[in-house]
Amino acid sequence: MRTKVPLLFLAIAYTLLLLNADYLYALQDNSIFISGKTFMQETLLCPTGIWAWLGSWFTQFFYYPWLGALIMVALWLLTYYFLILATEARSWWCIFAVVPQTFLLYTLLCLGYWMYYCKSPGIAFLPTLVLLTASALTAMVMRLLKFFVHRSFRKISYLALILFYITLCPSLTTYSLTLPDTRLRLELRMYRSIDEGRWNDVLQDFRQTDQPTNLMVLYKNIALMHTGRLQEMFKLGNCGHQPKTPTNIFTGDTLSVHISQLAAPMVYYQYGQLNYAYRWAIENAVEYGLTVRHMKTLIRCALMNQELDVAFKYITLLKSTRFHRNWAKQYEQMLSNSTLLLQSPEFQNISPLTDEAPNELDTDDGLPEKWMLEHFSDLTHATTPKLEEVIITTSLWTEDEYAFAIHFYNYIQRHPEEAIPPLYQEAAILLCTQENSPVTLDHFPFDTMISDKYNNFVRDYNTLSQQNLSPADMATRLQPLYGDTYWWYYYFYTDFQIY
Amino acid sequence: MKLHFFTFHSLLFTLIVLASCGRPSVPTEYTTVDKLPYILPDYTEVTIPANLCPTNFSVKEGTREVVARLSAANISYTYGEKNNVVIDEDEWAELRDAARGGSIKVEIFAKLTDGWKAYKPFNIYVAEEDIDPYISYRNIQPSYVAYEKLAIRQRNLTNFDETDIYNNLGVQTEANGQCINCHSYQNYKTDHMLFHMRQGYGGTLIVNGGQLKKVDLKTDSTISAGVYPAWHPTLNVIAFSTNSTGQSFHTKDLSKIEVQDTKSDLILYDVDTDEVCNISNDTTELEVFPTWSADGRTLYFCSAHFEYDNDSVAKETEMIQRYKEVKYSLYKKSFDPNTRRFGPTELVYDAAAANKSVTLPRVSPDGKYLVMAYGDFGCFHVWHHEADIYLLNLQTNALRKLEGINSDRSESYPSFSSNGRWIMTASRRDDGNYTRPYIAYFDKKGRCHKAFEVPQRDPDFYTFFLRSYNRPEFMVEPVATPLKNFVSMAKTDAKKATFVSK
Repeated sequence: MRTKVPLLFLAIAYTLLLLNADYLYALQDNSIFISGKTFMQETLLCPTGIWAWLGSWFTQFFYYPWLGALIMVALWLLTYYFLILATEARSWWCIFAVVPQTFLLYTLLCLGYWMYYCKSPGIAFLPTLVLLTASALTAMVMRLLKFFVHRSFRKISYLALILFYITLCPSLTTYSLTLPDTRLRLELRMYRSIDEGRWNDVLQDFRQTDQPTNLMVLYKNIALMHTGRLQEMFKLGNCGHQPKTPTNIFTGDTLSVHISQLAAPMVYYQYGQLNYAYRWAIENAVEYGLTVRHMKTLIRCALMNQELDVAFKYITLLKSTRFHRNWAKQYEQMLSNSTLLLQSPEFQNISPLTDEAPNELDTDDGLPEKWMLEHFSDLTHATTPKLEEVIITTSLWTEDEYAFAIHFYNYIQRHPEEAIPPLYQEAAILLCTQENSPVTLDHFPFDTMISDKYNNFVRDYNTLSQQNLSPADMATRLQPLYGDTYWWYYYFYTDFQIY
Repeated sequence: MKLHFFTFHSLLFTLIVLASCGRPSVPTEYTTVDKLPYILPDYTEVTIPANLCPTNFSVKEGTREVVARLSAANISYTYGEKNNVVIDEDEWAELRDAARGGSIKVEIFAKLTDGWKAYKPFNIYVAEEDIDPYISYRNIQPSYVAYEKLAIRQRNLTNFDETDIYNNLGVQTEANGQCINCHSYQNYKTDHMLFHMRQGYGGTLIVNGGQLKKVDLKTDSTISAGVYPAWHPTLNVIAFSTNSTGQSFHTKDLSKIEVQDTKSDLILYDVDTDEVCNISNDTTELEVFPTWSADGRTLYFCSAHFEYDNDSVAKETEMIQRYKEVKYSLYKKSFDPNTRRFGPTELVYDAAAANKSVTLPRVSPDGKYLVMAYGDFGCFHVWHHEADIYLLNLQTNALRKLEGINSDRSESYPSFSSNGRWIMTASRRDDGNYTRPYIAYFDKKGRCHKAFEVPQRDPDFYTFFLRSYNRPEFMVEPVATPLKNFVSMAKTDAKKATFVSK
């Protein structure tokens, strides 16, 4: 039984960990281990000290989830061994020696959004390392006790086991016991795809849920923007929702999750807002600890901003990590060879969004999504076709009729010979029929198909309205026919909550 | 036979160990390169104080093996650990003492793919004069709004010892963060010193003749608690600015941050009575950065004339819209130490007329010079890459840029050492983002020599260290008040200062 119990547990644990490989990868992406004295001294200043430093060291192995998971279960096995050694448990009592590891597995997988907010470096491994140390010490003490007070050893060992669980339970209250959220997993996958420029994968993951978070919508639109497909913004669905945030079952506290911590550096960067991307990478690093994600953003922004000395500094730091040094070396080449930078897909993607936009002195009040939507929607001079597309679609995203009217007229004037994209026509038809609409296009040659479809939408909408259906029911009924239109978004997406 | 075999291998092993621990030799064969080596920190042709610690550096020539030969008088030592040159402190003291008033010659040999190269030798000049043995600074990440770990530290310049004067980790909690700032000393001594705490356990911690107290300098009649401080050199009074400060962010400009005061005044605080009175509170002037002359009879400060003219928006908004119009000039007020009365405001340097803005003035101990940060606009030159250190001759009123200490990136927060021979500045020349302490020799003829970065034991320290050095200040002695005393006092309630009209 002493062998079967841990083997069975470890097999299940390893399988569960591997099923969450993307999540494990994200854990190391939201952590960092830099070799050298300076990082060590800084980490040792944390309240958890040496465990934080060791935890950071172990966490980096989640870069290869199978490897990190293997190390994790090996440490759990070691803990099991120490607990057995401490208690001399036999037969079915051995099951109790895997209970702490079961909790650790569960809390690791339920860490969820806490990975952005937890201030302890190396949090993924930290509880395991603490448990390992505690169990090793307990085993040592128990062996000594056995040596000196042999008779009462059995009683003492069970007392030790009880004490062990008593000290373990309160530590669980720091974590929320919420089941893992699929949308978080998708967010993490989409982030990695964006980081690696795999735009189709971003879109594929977006399609896997019909209740995307705001962040997933942002990611999806970034992918569309960089592949020249922003016209499909509403076709794929643009209705974001607040994420399901974990609640602590003991205290009832809910974690307040904000895009500024989740992904502001990456989102700002992809939209060409380099200073704000840099700012949030620094802000989050200061408040919640430096991570690989921050470091990459800092390098990218510094390179794009031609701040080569500070880019060199960050690249040197990232080169001192075990698994991200190749990424850093790749960007290091751009330091000395500006042609490489200019020809890189990243530069080609982002520079059209940064070119000639005037400097502003502003603040986002910790709401990057709100700031960015307003910023682009309010821009009046598009210097590149890509920026023009972003500006127009953003005004639709925010349902800012006046901004859209200006952008739409500008578009028509700038592209007199070109066909108007269907999305812009959909929006223009909708808005020019509104009361007090800023859009007046009485004799505008809309595509017949689009105007007919709009007329049908109005008819169906009115029909359902007369049946006294709730907006939610109307939305569901109209979605098969009109779910891919701007009209459906305009009328039924009323839950746009910025976080 | 077996014993001999064992002895032989033991000897061989010992020799190998000794050889690996030994001093590197200058290569016998090399080709010369007619350029200075690229080293970090850059100590080529700098002038250092006669009591400075070793100037360890790293050779950045793409090499993994270097040998450096340092020579002075008839002393010569070689060093080299991979691409680092880490100098033994005792040997450095020998070299440095031998070179006092002269120079240490440094020859660098680097092993590249095509063999050893010998770079053009350079000198490290050693001044006749010492430097104050201590400096203090606040280590802070170059953050925007968030802050977490902050420490005011003191560093012994004659070796590498560094200790915390105060560290906010001692008192702050998750819900109640604590910002610490503006450490300041009376006349380079530490038995009269202060620093502020904001938010959690807010107040000003003051050491008054070795006695510690905590004061809340905010009164109903002043804009804020005391902000930028200046201890009077002999009296137990401190001039402070009071400021209403805002922060906003550039979307494209690489200065990234703008910090502006929407209003500011000057107050005088009596340390013994805890009374506060106004020095200057003109509502159309933004007075800030007070500093005393060495004799304590003049208070210098900066002030920008600014009138709000748009009632339809908040002052903060108007300030953001017109931030480039804010130009600080240099002013002074005479001060009678007996009556503690100030004279009228006098213009010293009209920076606004030159379309410039000057901040952070400091007067030399001999009273002849004043250094200040000189930029295009505003009061927060640490984020203005064009900002440089300028020297004003207080006898002739001639202003000039101090060539040796400046770079093409931001320089701010200048200060004189107690003997007036060294000027320290917070510079962003390394990378444009992280502020580092640089020190330049200011000779008797008023010339500033090439500045050097405060040395660290690890030559790559500054590359890996992600915090800025804020408000570097000279001290003639270390802070004697233990950290735990500051922590205990921080947790007490602050005594309210009282406002008196004078």
